[in-house]
Amino acid sequence: MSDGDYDYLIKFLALGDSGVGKTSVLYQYTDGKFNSKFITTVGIDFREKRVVYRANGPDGTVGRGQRIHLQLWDTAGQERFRSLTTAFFRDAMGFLLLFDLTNEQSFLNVRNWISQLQMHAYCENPDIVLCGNKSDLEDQRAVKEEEARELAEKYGIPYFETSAANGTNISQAIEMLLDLIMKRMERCVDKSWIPEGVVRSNGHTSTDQLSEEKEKGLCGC
Amino acid sequence: MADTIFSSGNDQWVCPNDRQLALRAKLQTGWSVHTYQTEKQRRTQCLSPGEVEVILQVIQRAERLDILEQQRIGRLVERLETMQKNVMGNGVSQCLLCGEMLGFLGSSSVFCKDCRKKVCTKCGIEASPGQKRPLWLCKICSEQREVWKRSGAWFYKGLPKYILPLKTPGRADDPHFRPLPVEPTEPQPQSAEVSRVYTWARGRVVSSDSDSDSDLSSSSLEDRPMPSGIKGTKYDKPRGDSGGSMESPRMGPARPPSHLSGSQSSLGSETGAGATDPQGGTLPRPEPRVSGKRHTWATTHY
Repeated sequence: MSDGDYDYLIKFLALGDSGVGKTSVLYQYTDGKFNSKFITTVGIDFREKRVVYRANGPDGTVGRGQRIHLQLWDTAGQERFRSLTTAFFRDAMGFLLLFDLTNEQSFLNVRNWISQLQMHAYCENPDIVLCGNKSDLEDQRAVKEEEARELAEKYGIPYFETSAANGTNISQAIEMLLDLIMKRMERCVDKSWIPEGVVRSNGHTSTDQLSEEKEKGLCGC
Repeated sequence: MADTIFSSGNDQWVCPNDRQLALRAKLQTGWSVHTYQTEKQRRTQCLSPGEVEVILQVIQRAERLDILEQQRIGRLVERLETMQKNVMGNGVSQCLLCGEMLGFLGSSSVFCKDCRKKVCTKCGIEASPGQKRPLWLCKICSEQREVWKRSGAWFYKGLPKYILPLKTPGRADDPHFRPLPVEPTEPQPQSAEVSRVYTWARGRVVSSDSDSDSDLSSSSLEDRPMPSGIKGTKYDKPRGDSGGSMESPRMGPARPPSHLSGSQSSLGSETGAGATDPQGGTLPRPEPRVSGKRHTWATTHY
């Protein structure tokens, strides 16, 4: 694991209230295990995982696998670590925003966390995946799925109901975030290479302008 | 321990950025002064020495990963520089990369979208094979885009800090010094030999490391199954020509814009003065100038 033999280093950061299961979700994803004992995270931590990403091309063909080294930052949700953890927001390429399905206050604080992201992340619209954790505790559920999905649609972010205890939807959530990041990377690289003012006066002028407008609108960086 | 992390590796004092200041404030290091806080507030907000120790250990682990990443990016940059150094044609009547004659009596050519030079179909890569209008890139510009993606430069708005491979320290200097003066006749055979040996050695590295993946991707796009052998043969022919033809392609081909501004990739591990990233700002697009590019490129290495 500690070698430089990969194609991309991608950094994600998990955030949310204290006790919602950020550390457990990342531990389940990297090691496939769950520890029911609650040990509060001190400030900041990170885990690593090597995955293979296969992009789906526009024509439906599956591209060649690319080796991704994931650095998964785990933050402390407590208020007294806030200024420490927000300092790490800028280096993260994507964010995993967690709340506890059995704790309505953690769901209400999702708005505050998104505001924190808009202030401290690398841009105002970073890629976020919302996760309602502890979906296995159905009898203690306090947040309806419709409510959470409605909030996610309002912010335009994907929503998954996860469980660190049994591993439900954890891989899907992180793979969705990785897909969003890789697509954003392709848009950024393609956009930055379009030379401005070099549109030649030929039969394809209108096509070039249309494609440029589309690409400009898509890229949020 | 904290002072060691924040002040190590750099004798010259550099003003710390906002994130370092925020981190120092919370860790009670640096020049942070809590003038207006009462003792009670200070005690509740301060981290205990044990907590500070845990956080610093995490930061050290992150720095070890960053070093590996910097070395990996250095290998990508070295590979790209080698490709740029080994161009053999003028990109107009000859293929930019292999120097093969193009046009009426020569091979068919394609036009690179980025550097706007001509290359033969073997030295070009179709960037969007599924669409109606084929979009071609020469292999150098395609490799440039790969470096931009794999190094994280798309995210940091510039090429992050990297460490060049140590096994070839002399060659790292070559691209910056040799193009500037006019080389005398005698050293040319030596440089040609060195280039040949290095190209052959690079072929070995390609077959064993992650570079082979991109080569496999390239070969799948090409029609002929044995491109490397044919290219090797063609590489030898132009070297036998006069020195003038070797000089002109180095001046002629313009490199695609590569932004080499430093960027903070790890909090607390770098003390270099990086430019503040504008939130939501557009990507920088400087005017392409050959001398400016090389100067910027050279600055980053030292």
